Amino acid sequence: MTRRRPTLLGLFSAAVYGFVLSPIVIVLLASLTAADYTSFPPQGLSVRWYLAIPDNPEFLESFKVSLIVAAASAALATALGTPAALALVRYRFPGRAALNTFFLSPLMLPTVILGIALLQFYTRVGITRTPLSLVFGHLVITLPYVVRLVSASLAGLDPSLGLAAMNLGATPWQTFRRVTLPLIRPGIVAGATFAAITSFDDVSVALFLASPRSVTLPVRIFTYIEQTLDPLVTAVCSVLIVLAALGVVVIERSIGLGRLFGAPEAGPH
Amino acid sequence: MSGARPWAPWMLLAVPVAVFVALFLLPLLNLFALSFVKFDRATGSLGGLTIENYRKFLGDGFYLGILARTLRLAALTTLTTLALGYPVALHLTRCRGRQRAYLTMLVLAPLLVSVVVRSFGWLVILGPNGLVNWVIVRLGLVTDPLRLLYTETAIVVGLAHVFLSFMVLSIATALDRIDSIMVRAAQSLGAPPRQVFFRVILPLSLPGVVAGSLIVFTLGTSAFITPALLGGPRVKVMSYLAYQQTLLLSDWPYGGAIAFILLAVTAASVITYLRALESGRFKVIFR
Amino acid sequence: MATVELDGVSKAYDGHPAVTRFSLSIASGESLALLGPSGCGKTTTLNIIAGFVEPDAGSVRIGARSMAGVPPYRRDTGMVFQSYALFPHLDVFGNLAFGLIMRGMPRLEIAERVRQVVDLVHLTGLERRYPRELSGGQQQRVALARALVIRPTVLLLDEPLSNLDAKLRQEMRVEIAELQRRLAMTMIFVTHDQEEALVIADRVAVMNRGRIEQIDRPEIVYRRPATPFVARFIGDANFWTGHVVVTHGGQASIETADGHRVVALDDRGSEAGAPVMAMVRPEKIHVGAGPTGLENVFTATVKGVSFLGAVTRLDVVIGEQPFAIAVHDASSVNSLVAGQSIRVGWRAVDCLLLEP
Repeated sequence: MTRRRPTLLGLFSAAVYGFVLSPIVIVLLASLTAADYTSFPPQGLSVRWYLAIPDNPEFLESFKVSLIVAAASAALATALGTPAALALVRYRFPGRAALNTFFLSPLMLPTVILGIALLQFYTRVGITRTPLSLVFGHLVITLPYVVRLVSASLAGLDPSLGLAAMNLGATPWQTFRRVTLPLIRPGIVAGATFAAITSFDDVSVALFLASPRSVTLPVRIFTYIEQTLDPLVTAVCSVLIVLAALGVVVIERSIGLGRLFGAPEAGPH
Repeated sequence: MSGARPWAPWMLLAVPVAVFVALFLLPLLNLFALSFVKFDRATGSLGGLTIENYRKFLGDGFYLGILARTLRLAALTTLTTLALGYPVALHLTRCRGRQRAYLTMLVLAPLLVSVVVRSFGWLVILGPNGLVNWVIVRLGLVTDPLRLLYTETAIVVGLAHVFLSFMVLSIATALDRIDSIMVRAAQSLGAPPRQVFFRVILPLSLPGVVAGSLIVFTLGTSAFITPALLGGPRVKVMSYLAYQQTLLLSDWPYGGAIAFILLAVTAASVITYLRALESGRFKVIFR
Repeated sequence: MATVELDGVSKAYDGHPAVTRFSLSIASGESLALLGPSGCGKTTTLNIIAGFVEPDAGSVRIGARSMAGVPPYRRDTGMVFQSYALFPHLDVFGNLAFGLIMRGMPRLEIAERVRQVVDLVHLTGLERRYPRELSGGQQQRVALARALVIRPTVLLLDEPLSNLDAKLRQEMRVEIAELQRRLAMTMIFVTHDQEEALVIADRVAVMNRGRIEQIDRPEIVYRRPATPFVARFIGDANFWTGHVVVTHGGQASIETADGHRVVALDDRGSEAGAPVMAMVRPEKIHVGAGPTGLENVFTATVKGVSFLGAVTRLDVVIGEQPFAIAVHDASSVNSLVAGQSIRVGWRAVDCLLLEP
């Protein structure tokens, strides 16, 4: 009885994992088609659509835009989110709970609202659509993750560590530099990483804020798919999938994917 | 903390708050105000204050139908992820060591792949030349490919795929919090495995089910990319409608009104859901 | 090493007083235990001295210098935290050197001072270990050494031994007491463990609800508790409530609520008719024939006998009043069974009068 149950459960789980992986695997396979249209199973086998990517420089251009925007918004979000998290976790002051909600609220908002609101506002105050306006937009959707992850690592810190440092003669700044910062570094790195991924993958906000000359890669793919389904885009998507897989490996080795998403760690028996 | 300097947190907060007010709060308030402005489609000019934008939506069966569809799709997506995710979470928490690490990675890894790419994958699977049609034509179940794309089903499949990780994660977290001593206690009192599950594990994991459902439902109502790609203009949802009204038709006030109606309805359904739970049978678990 | 003085210190959290008009004076080189149940304000007192908590009223002076407005990192107090608060990202050497680096000491001198303190607390060879690689007892030593190495004006310890197992706790108790005497440190330590306080401290301050109930040498606090609370908190005690009938020659005759007569020591000049509690320690009650000349002799009924190792605990009632008796010679009570009547008694000088 106790032996059979996990097996049934395991079979069901395996099927769900198959469901989870299927679109990803199928894009990878479909990209190897030799035909002029996307189909599954692919017609023939070739890498011609990968070779066609360099002939469409707009994808490469967009990739560059995405990287720059992701790096810049992650850096900004980390620089602003870390002190905010410090204040919210370390101090008790009137308005603290409200501010906490304020910083996390973009997560609860449909991204389309943000896109519309930001574009409308930028137009009104005269900010033109540039990579910078994209960075501003992404700052709004990435800052909550930094605040949340840094807050979590701060909250897990024994408060007497800070007291001990001060008792040994460390000023508040020295306490932060030599004790708090090294101990919350994993949280900061996780926050920055999450911010970069969120920015890199975002479509809803970028769709509104991208100018014709600075289109991020996901937006480029989105508008491309809306018009045609030729296998070129399967090749581009496959490249993104491979990059994501590399990302998974790097993150798993450095931060741990589970910690990044707040997954429960396997406890002892 | 120590030192009793009331201004200390504000030194840390000043810049982040200022930036967030300027880049987030003001744009939102601006859009809210704009949603009460009259818009002339013929000339494209903005006029005086009005509640016409809201009245137009709420008085039109076509628009209300889109709202109803949005909520229906989000609810169906929630149920689907729950049905698929609970057993997966249960299985995951019963695994140990390396197996568990790999499975956790498998649950989480898709989150690193852009939603566009993942939805595109479903386009390939469900399309006229896609995997599903290839299989059922080969099996002789149908002669001509079925139209699977641009249907509500396609949207639910795509959304369930995108949000499944969140559901598994919240349920697994709740399951992990259950003290294994509870299971032993139930067993020592004579409960066979099935009873242990239904009378101990399931009730205690409900907070995770609720948290996961809330996340998936709210993400589902506001989802944009997946419905846009798998439903297209034919099966419009609220986000797509707002996108269409603003970016494609330039009716910003109406688009703004749609966005805020979506926000209000989502918030209202979440609150109703939580209220219902608080008065429910297992309310003690949610304290 | 320096004196520490608290004068009229008060602190409340959200209207709940933690410490109320608290005054205390500790001599240089003295070791003082703040003893009390959880929530009595002992840790708050320690945190006020260390500067982590700003008092609402009153003053703190360390070595005659007022601590008003002096931040914790300028106070030169060395604190040992209950959780040890070892920096997990630094190894033992890094933890020990931290305070010296903060004081801008040259590297060579730091190495020398750390070496000395490592010897002092027997941690040699563990300098490159990280806190998580140490046993509980080793972590405790590192925490102690880290506070000692800065040569603090006063050493503060917050329940330093509460995370150790019983055997290790006894060893560390003796070791800390020895170190304190050898280095002639001013030391204040917080504990809820009466034995710990009695072993380590020169003086014990028993605290209750933010106030000091009694402060004195350990044996005085034990023998002459000032209040029923102190009597109950340090050691076991039997109480009998009643009122004074007559006093003469430093003794008082009490009539208990249930009509018994008890003769007790009266060194506080009680007045006839005053309500009092007569207190007698379990080990001061004699069973059976006992020595002659006991002023208080009663017939008691046995309720139970529990063998506790070094002593045997005998539970009896005199009338309705329960009494616990500690007997060192188990053989004298082994044969007793519940319900049996026995003769018990104690001397007047072993029976204290306390205000209820």
